Amino acid sequence: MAAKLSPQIDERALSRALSDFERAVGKDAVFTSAVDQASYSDLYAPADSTTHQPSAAVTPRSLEELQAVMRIANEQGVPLWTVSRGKNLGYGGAAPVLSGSVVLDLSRMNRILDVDPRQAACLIEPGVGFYDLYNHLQEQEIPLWMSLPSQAWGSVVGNALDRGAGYTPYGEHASQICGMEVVLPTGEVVRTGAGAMNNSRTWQNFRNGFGPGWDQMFCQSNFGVVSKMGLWLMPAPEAVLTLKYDFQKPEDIIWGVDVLAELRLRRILDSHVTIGTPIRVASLFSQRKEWYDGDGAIPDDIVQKMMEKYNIGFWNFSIRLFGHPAMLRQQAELIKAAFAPHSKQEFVETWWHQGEPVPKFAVHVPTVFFLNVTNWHGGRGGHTDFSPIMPLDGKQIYEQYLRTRQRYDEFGIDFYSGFTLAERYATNVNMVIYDRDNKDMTDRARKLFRALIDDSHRAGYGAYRTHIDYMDAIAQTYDFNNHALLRLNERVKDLLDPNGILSPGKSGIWPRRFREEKR
Amino acid sequence: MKYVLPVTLLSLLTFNVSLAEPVSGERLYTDKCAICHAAGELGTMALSRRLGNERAILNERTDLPAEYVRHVVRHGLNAMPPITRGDVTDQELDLIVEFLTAPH
Repeated sequence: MAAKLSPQIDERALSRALSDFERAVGKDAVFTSAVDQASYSDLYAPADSTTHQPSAAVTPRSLEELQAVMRIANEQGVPLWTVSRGKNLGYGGAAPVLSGSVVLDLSRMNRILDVDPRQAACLIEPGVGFYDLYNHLQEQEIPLWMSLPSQAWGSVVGNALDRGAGYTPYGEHASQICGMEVVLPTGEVVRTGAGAMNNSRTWQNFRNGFGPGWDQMFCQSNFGVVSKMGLWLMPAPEAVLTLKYDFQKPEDIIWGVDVLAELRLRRILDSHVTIGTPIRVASLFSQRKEWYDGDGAIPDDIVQKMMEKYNIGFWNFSIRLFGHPAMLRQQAELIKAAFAPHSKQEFVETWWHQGEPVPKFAVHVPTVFFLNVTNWHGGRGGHTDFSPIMPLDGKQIYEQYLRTRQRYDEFGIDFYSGFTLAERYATNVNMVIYDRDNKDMTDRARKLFRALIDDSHRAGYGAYRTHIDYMDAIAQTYDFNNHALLRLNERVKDLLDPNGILSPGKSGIWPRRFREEKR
Repeated sequence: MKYVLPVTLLSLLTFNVSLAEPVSGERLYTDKCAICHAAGELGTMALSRRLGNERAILNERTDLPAEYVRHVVRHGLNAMPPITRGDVTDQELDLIVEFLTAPH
């Protein structure tokens, strides 16, 4: 067996489990070869990808097969690592935190169970990808839109569970979840919210049912395996108005964010706005060597050349408005009026109306074009990001820019930053791009990442999501009352998963059997 | 319109995106590969840089050995990640290879 097993995994128990898995789901659904192990490891790892290499993968096709896999894992004490489609690229892909875990790959549980045009909701299995759901909506001519992440190769359910973001008014994906079916680690099936009633007609309408609401408990957790999810979809808008704008100087982001924050809070602007630096644009359409072949971070004069070539500013963003054209014209006037006292610069307006050809990069059409960032250095590229959450406050965001920029320069990594503005917070995405075959660069990338965690922690900002390498480190930054939240998570974990088989280490939550050794 | 049905009945009416019924290699290529390898997409851009425009679009190539396609799919190449057997089964890969290597 090529994969390096963690010492907590018993090789004989693993061997028995794999045989039992084959009997339960078929030999064609259990993958154990060295090639399989490598294909389920972290494809964009900033270190040796065998650090998080699984021993095997198993792909159940149904709820019954999923339950059988979990029963066997309990019997043999073999840890599973759940992935919906395993495309969480930049955050570890399909790879487990604990090396030697068996990947529980839900790719083949991929039924679209229901799409309800009138209630604007769907019920889907975790293997349904964004392309699958998009194609289904198109082929069935259902007038609903999904919200999509910038890289849409993955699972709709998986992305919502990991609190991904998109660029329509439904862009906070975890907030669109309405009802789940979950297999608990011991194999029991529960339905959350209104779905807890046998003949419920409101499972995808009303989140909470009666009593405590549990949907969010299964986000970024290892408390259960989501086998079905209800999600709200957006009625297709009559039109989309895109207002493109940029801030020429770094410090313009201070007034810019404050103006956008007010517009967001008043819901004149009701979708995420991502403000990004020039390398964010350049890395989509070019490679680094076309700009600069020196060591260290790309210098300011080269960044200036990018701004000139693409006719962009230092910070660049698009506001998108969705709905009836009459409404959008009013919103646009209010937005322009809010910007007018600060700058004479005009917005570049682009209209799209229903029935017109859909432009490339439309926000409701899946694309993986964003993955071009991995070609920035050429060769075997990789990326990850450190993404702390901040208040919508221009001064704090500018200070964060200065702090992170200094760290990128210090460690010689190209500065790629963005701030995605939600209604009450900003997500500061600090993209770290590297050449996986350049050990010096990946070492510097890892040191940069640690410095960013520590700096942001000191400043009071915690990450919302992270790569498998940093799950413990990020969990440790949530340290109120001597990590009381982590201890609560551990208590829940031990109660629901007494054998500690489900995704050990996910979000820093370790079951009892692994806990002491991990510390 | 929403009907409430028992799960067993509901399952008969659902849409299975898995490829249980026979699917052509061309359709599989479109679903599984063309998201990166259609004209203008990132895989095509990468191939264009490496091999030139004339060899950048995979399904227009006439020089792809079957074993090479299988190897790249399962092992990845440069920034292209390997594709797991959970994502594309061996049978599906056979059909994709047949489509890409058929005389055209």
